[in-house]
Amino acid sequence: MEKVELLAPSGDLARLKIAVMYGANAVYIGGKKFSLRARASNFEISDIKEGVEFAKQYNAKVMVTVNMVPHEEDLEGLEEYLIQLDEIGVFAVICASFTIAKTALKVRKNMEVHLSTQNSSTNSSVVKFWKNIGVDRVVLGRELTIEETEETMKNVDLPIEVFIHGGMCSAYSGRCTLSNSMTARDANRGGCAQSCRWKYKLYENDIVISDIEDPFSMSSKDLMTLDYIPRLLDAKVASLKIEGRMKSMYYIAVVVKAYRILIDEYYEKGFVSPETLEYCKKEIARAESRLTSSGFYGGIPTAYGHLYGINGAGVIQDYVAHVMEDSENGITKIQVKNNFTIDDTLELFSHCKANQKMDTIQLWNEENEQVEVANRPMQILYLKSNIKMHKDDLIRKYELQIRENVY
Amino acid sequence: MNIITTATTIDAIEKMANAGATGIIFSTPYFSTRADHYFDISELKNIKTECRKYNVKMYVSVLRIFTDEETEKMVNHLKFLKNLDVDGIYFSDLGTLYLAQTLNMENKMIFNPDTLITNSEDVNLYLEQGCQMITLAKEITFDEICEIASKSKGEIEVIVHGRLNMFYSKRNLLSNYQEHLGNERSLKNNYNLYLIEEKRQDKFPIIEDDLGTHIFTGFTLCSFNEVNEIIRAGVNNIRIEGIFKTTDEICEIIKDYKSVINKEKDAKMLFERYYQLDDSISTGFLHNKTIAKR
Repeated sequence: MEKVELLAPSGDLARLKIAVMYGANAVYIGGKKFSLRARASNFEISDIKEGVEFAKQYNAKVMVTVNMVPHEEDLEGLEEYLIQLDEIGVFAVICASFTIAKTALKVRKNMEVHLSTQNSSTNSSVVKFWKNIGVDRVVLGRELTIEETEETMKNVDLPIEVFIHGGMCSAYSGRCTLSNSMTARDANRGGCAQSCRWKYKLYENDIVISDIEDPFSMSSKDLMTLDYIPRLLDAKVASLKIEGRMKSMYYIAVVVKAYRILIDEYYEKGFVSPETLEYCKKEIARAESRLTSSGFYGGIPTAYGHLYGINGAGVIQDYVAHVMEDSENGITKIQVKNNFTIDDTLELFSHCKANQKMDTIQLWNEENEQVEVANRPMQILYLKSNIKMHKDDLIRKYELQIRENVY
Repeated sequence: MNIITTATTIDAIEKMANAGATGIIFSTPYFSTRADHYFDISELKNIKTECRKYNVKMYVSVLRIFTDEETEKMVNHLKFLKNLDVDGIYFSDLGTLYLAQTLNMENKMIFNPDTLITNSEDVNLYLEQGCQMITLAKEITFDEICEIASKSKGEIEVIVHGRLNMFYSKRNLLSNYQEHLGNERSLKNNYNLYLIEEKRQDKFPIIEDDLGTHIFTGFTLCSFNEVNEIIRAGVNNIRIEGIFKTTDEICEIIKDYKSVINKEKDAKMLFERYYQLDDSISTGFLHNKTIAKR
């Protein structure tokens, strides 16, 4: 049986490696050109090449978003760029513009051409349209219920990718220019200011009808679909996509590993045990920076699917250190990410084994002085504990951060 | 020159034709969205007769973004419109174009995807798919419109006047907010609503209809100063968005564009007069370039 692809986002090379190590079958990244999410699109061709080669060791693929909706001036250098991506072994480009897709189809030798969710494809007819053009895969819009997704899957003969996790546009993706209008930043060329998450007064004939304390907003909760994965696998979708090229390394690691565990258990046993589902939900809740809902999978979102009174995303401080090298003689070289003390109970979150709670720990700095508090981000420390750790494992607080302080 | 607008009554056809409209878009329930009037499908035949009588092209809005469960209804509606021999069908879902291609009626189709048409190569590729006309995105500049027009290999339409939609969601955003507050009053199909962001002054009209929620620009686009050059660059179809306007207001606007095109009235003075009466009047994005990246 062809196994589903778990597709994770990466904002830089470090996150690409983490996504692959924690269980992604493929990652998507933004090159410096022709991509949305400008701030997360930092990959030079040489970085992409390094990413492709790293992923190959894990039998994973790298896709590159070329998903801007280009104006006349933006198209220069497109062919050369696409040829370069193909030559360095990029598995696929993800395109929104017909011109970019068509150009990629023309110049590619091996690379696949995927159609972005920016096109809001919500039926099998539009998939057939793109199949006629020669596109290899279509990413569906996020507006379909699980039943509608299943129905679409019955009627298509092209690989289909669906979003399973992360932030959601409130609008049909790509059909929104709030950002253009309010900030002169072009939403479809990488500048989205997320104006849908701002707070608005609602007026009727010049009289305010919104609540002063609880204003109107279009902001969507993030998507979380652990409950729907078995049905999506049964429907034979080709790829399950996690949103978030702007998200942190910790977020990527936790979310990827949770879906990996759930998917693997379903393939292995034919069902997901309530314990595993519960465990994965708890894990994902630890990485959330916004409240989640099932998006459209459970039906058109009601008030429950929305966020009111919340502007941005919260900050997660559970993740306190990154393991720099494999442990030796009980000592592990770590890099501090968030404050902690030797009195905190810590937990190892590993890419190669189950989570492990640490007993008492001791810390030394690079000058070999013993320290009790780690409060300088990026500082290198040496940690002594009862647990063997591996390079690129993560260390986090054992106790869950109080969520009210996050959202 | 094809001057296209939207109508809310059958009587408006004669008035608009007399004012100078050469094409009118009609909306129907289920298949259309973001309209201030929905005609019953049974009225379309009569509308066709009226349009022929006044020598006006009859366009029908089929902007629904549909699901597989709805495909059959879409197919039947397209067949009906083909038989009725309407002059054009506005669509925003490429699935609709695929269905039209299978029915050999792609030459009726006008692609109007709101935001996605921002360069001439995309225009030409969709024209190659058989579309009759492509509506340009509204967030591009005057220079970009002229450049696209000069490179396009077929008919393009530019929206020159009116409130522009800038956000379309399948979500029922007003109903959800009312539910959140515990208010029972429905705000669906209420055309008197607008939003103001907490740090800004612009008033954005908002409508929730059966197909979701639409938000419009805080400005009312007005292109008196640019319309002649837009036409000279090769644009043969201009649209005056009728939403939030009465038939008489739309007719006045059409007449004024006609007189600017015919050099009977001074564009600058007209723009000033419109601005005096309504300070939301603006050139929108025409001279206001958006930033590609931040």
